[in-house]
Amino acid sequence: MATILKTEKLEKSYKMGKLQVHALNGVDLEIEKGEFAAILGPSGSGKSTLLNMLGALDRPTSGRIEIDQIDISKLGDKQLSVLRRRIGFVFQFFNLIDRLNATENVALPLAIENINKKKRQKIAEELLQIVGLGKRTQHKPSELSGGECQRVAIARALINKPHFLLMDEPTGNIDSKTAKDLMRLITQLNEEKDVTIVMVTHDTKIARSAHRILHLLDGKIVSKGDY
Amino acid sequence: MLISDIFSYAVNAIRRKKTRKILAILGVAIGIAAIVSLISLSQGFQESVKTQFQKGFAADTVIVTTQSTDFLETESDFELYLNDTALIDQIDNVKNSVALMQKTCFIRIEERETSVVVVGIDFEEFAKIYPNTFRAKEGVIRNSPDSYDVVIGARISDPWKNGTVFGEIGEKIEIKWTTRSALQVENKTLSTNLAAILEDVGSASIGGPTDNGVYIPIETAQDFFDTTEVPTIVVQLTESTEDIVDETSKRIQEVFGGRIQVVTPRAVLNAISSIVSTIELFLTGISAISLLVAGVGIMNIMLTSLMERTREIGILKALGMFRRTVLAIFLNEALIIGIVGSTMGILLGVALATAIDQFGLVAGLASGTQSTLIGEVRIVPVFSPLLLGFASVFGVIVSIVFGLYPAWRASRLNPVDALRHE
Repeated sequence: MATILKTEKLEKSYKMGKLQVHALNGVDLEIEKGEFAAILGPSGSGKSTLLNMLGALDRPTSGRIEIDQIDISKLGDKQLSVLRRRIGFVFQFFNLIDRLNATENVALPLAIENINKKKRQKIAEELLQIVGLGKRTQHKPSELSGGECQRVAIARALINKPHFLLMDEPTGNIDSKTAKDLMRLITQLNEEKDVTIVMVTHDTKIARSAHRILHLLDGKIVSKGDY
Repeated sequence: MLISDIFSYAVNAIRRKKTRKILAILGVAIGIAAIVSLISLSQGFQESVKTQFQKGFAADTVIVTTQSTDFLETESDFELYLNDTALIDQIDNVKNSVALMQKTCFIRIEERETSVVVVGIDFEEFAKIYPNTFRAKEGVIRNSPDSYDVVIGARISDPWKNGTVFGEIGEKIEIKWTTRSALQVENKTLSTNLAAILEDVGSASIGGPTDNGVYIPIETAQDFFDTTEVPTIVVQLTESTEDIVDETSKRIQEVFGGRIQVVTPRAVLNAISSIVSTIELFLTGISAISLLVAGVGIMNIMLTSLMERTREIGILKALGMFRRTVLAIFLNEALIIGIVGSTMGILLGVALATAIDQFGLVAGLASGTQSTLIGEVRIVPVFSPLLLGFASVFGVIVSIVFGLYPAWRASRLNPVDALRHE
């Protein structure tokens, strides 16, 4: 199987006030195409920081990230923007645009790629159907529940047929029953649509849905025994 | 992103955040309205000084008067008489002179009784000196008038400029004057016929006709007021050069032993000009402050309404939007706010300045100080294309600069940092 995501000695540190914080201390990982991997770790272990690097939303302090065998540390702002269009990102806090309804939110990545309105709305509505929101296409985020918002966010992440899906605590803000349904959907996407998924969570139960669990502690990938 | 999508995204953002955007538009509109109304009024003021004052002025005249022109000077007890014009006429460079017999009287036209200054003059000679302003709008000013002819200024017949007209040609006008001879107080009434109504002088005039003047033939005045004493003689010179005017003024003073005042329109004009330039400076200051206040107001509202959208910019960038597309969206929003706000501001400013002119706030202020020597000054706001153009460009540019700056800053952040912004 082909490696789709690879990091080497990935480090990230930033200043918090006067304190130098080392969020990542040399992370090496490889994700295969079609895989469903979970990164498990307590809060503050650097999970989100790692995921942001993988999604090209932030730059590492040092080390290497390869996406589809391309080293992204050398890319400029414009090339990174183009790259982000091929990565589906699902945030813990949904990050939907409040003013836009579900369809418009889902269709936004296609608008960015100059797809005309009629076409992108049709695709968006189909995707909302897949994530089980076929009847709530005209609702705004404020009129949707947390679980529904996360489904909209997943549909938005999928609309560009991304190389892989990155999920940052996708169930972090929703109740456990809804979380179960959502995990079913995510597993389904991986198994039936062959979507590569990297998910970050602190919840061992949620992580169990994945094929492989990577443990992150103090900015390092550790073996299960250490955790 | 397609241009149509950029536009509709911006319009959507404005429509969905109505209150805030209306406030932003209002902020721009008020700033622009302040600029337009203040500058148009101050330009109107300059314009009225330039054209109206000069229209009523005759540079080739000097005014000889026994009245004090300075508050600090004591009133002269020297008296000028009608036939002093003959004395003045003999002086070099004097072309002509006209005596003005001025008395404060009551006049009654139809139902309206009002206090005015009645001026006795030689109609023919006065018209020669002031051919542009001593001119009939209605009726005729005869060179050798009937002794009961009266000529009135435009504001005497139409005092409020609203078409409520008093007096028709040929109608009777009563002039009432109270005098005292020895111990007796005597009320006299002169019954005159309205011969002519003067054209609007529109403004100030020194010595010449004013819109509030009432003119009767000098012979009639002499009989009615029972005197040959005159407070003022208007002297027309052969030339209007400064040298001639100054030299002749000095000669006239010498003839009367320095006991009279010789006022040159140029000196009055200079005095007025210096007041006017002070007021202009003041108005320019106000305009500058209004520009600044408008600028800061627009800046404030644009900054706050965009600061809170840093997160949205983070989302757009995370979805792969180019930095310049993000900027194009916010540029579009700022442009719409700027254009709508500026247009509203211009309309508001024009309405405001016109209202000030119509309801006569400025005119009322000026007419409070009117006298027989200097008439009313009216300020008509001037809406030059330059001003309107400048105001709208200013509104749009300030909106764009301060609307775009926070967006530009946010678009340069890593998406993660923009997303973290609350």
